[in-house]
Amino acid sequence: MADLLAPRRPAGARHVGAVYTRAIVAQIRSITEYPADFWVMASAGVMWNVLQFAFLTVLFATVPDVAGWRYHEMLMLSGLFTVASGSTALLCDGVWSTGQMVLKGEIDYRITRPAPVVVQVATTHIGMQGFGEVAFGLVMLAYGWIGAGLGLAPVPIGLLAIACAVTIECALVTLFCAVNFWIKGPMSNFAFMLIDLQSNAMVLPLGLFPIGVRLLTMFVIPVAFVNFVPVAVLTGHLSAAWLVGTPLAALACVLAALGVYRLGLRSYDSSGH
Amino acid sequence: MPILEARSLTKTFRRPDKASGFKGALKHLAQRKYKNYTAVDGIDLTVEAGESVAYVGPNGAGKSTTVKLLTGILKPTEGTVRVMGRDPHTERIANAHDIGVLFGQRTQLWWDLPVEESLKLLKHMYGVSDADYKARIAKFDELLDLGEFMPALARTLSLGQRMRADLACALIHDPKMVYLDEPTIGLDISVKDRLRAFLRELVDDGTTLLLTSHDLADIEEVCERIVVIDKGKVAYDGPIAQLKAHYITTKAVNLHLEGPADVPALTEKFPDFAWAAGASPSEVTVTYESARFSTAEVLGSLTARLSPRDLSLSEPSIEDVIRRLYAGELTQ
Amino acid sequence: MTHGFAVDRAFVTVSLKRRLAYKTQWIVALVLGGGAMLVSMALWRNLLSGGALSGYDWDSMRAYIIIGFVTGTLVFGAADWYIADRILDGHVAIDLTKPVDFQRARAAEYVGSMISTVPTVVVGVIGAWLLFDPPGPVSATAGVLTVLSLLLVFPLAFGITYLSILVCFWTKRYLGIMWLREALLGFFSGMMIPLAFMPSWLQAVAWALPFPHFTATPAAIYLGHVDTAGALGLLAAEAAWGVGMWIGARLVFRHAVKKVTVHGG
Repeated sequence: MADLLAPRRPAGARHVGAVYTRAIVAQIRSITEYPADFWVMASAGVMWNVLQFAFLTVLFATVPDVAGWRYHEMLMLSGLFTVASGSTALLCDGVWSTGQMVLKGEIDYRITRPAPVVVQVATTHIGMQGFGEVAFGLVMLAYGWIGAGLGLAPVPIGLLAIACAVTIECALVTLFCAVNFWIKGPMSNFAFMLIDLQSNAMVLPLGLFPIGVRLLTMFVIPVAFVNFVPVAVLTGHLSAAWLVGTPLAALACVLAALGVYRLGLRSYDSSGH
Repeated sequence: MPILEARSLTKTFRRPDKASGFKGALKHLAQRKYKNYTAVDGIDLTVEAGESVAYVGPNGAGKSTTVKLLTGILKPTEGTVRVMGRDPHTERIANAHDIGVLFGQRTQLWWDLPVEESLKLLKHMYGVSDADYKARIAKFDELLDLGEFMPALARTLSLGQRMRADLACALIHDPKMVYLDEPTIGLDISVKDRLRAFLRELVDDGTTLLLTSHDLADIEEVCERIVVIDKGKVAYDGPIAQLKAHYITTKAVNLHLEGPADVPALTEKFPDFAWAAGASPSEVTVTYESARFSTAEVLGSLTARLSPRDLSLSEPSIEDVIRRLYAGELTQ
Repeated sequence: MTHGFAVDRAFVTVSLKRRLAYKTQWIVALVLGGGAMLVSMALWRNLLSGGALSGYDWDSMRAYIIIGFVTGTLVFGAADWYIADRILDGHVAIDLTKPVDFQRARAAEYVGSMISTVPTVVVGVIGAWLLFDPPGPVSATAGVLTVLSLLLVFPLAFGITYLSILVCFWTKRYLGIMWLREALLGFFSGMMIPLAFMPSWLQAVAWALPFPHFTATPAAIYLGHVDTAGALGLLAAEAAWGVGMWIGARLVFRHAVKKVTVHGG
């Protein structure tokens, strides 16, 4: 009996990281099973961004600036957002299925396994458009960076900005998908609205919008810290002090996402009793 | 200490009580009303290490809900569950190492990945050593023929292959306590036989098993103890042999007569037996109490006085007992 | 013939009812379409505060953005997934055994689902009208012709959507195809930025595609950027695209469906 009760290896952070990495790598390996889909998805990802690039280029052929922001600065804004949203497709695309899994009771098995449920759900799928989005987003960011004349000195800030942007975006998508624990439905409408509104509004300078929108995107749903705040600091539109908010926002979003997901699991009722 | 212990386990679901249609939805928004529905109602269950328990009941009796409570998927409304002394819901991760779960209706395989990849992911999730993993895969391959579809994508498997792969997934970490919820559902006879043989071996090796099934052959071949539940409550709990001995008090003979069978006339002729019409007009079934008459005695008297064209013995089955238990005819 | 129309009507009705059952989709469509409209308004008010650009002033831009919202909601809110799923999961083989024309039945369903977005369009337009007070059409004729061009969006949208969905005969998923189509549509229709802002070679590319008829054509007619003769020419081109894609889809389908019969469904 004593050996039955002996502690097994606990699910520490290292174990969770290893489980996560293995699952994602397995998903990436499986891409070879669907080569046609990979190319369709990846080129769809690139196409969105090529056209965003084209939009800005066409626009700035006619106007010198948008609310004080110039062409290359706007490219950085778009590029950083694209890297962040594309990363969610590569890192946690599975969370989009949360609603579907709750509805069908597919969370069940995941509760019986020794790893965090959110990690297991996030790694059930990989969005292949993410490859195209991240690659082209980085190109857009770099092109804007060079064009804006930022040089090499602020590169560390840029890297921190990318890391925080990816973290905030993944956390917010997870949080909004977790809403489906309570509002039952197969579609992750809230996360979808978040990404769609972001891709419309947050690639533009915040100064265009009323004060309410600015407060909302900074302090309530801190999407401004994904791309607007870091790019504004880098290009001198905001004072450097704002940069502190970026990692803080990232931390807050991660904690909120994990907390909401945990609460969601607590109210999970499986299906078909 | 028992490996599994549930005390007055109760699960009540709250369901929105709304009229259908748009109007109903609006009304529900304005004044929220809920109906409570108790799926599991005060169940006590103790399982000792090494036991093999069949958990049966009609559709909607609360079987799956009980399994979900015992595995920590659901949080009980009332009562407690202890698996090896732990609460499976609050000590989820620690508990997960010791239990294996299979829901026959669903797969835990990664849909887009090869079977082998799913097993490897689980190996790492459970922290199974390379040597153990190899040994177990070899054993599963021998008993379940996994090899043929290890490289196949999960979504391309047949139902039988999928179930065998899922069984391997549930057991890859050599769990002490295994829950199988309808492991043979939808399978053909040969796969069922193979699965049952595998489960018997598992029990012989000392694994504790709790199995739900609608297929009573699963139960008779794999389990020694049976727990029957109905409407969320335990209706019977004891050894299967004892259930049979206690409740199978009658035996039956099927007769094929030369001419049409006249049930009222036969009843008059043999008032000690119960007579019922059979599948065709010339067939008839005789039921008698096994305590009062021996089979030889019954057969002798029937053949002598009726000279039937053919006759066969009905094997007493657990199925009849459970059917009568469900119907409320029997009480413990 | 009358029997054929009765079948079409039945498909339209069923699809419309199915879509109307998803009430949350109305709200989602309104938030997404309305949100995009508000963002565009904020952007162009800022840009046009100093005067007209490429022939658009703040007045005409407000009308332009609302027209983009109308066609965008009609197209993006329709039930394209339903057809794609039938091809991907092999149900198409069952559909082919039914005594109705596959393409025509899907067209009827698609139009039904487009009609289901009308409540969203109406709410959005009323809201935008109250908030932004856009100018009316340049003339009564222009108004009538604008409505006509919006009606022609229905067959056009089906043609583009259906043709892109047929690609599913060769892929395992539809999502990427949908995104590609929506990206191209958003850009080349002029929804993101009026075509007049583009360099002439890019405008030529756009007008060689069916996409401009989703926004540029109705807006040009409404705002009087083309005269009546020009408007009729645009409508003719729009109608020609609808017919052309209908025939093209038949050819592609005939080729694609061989895959189904070869694989035995």
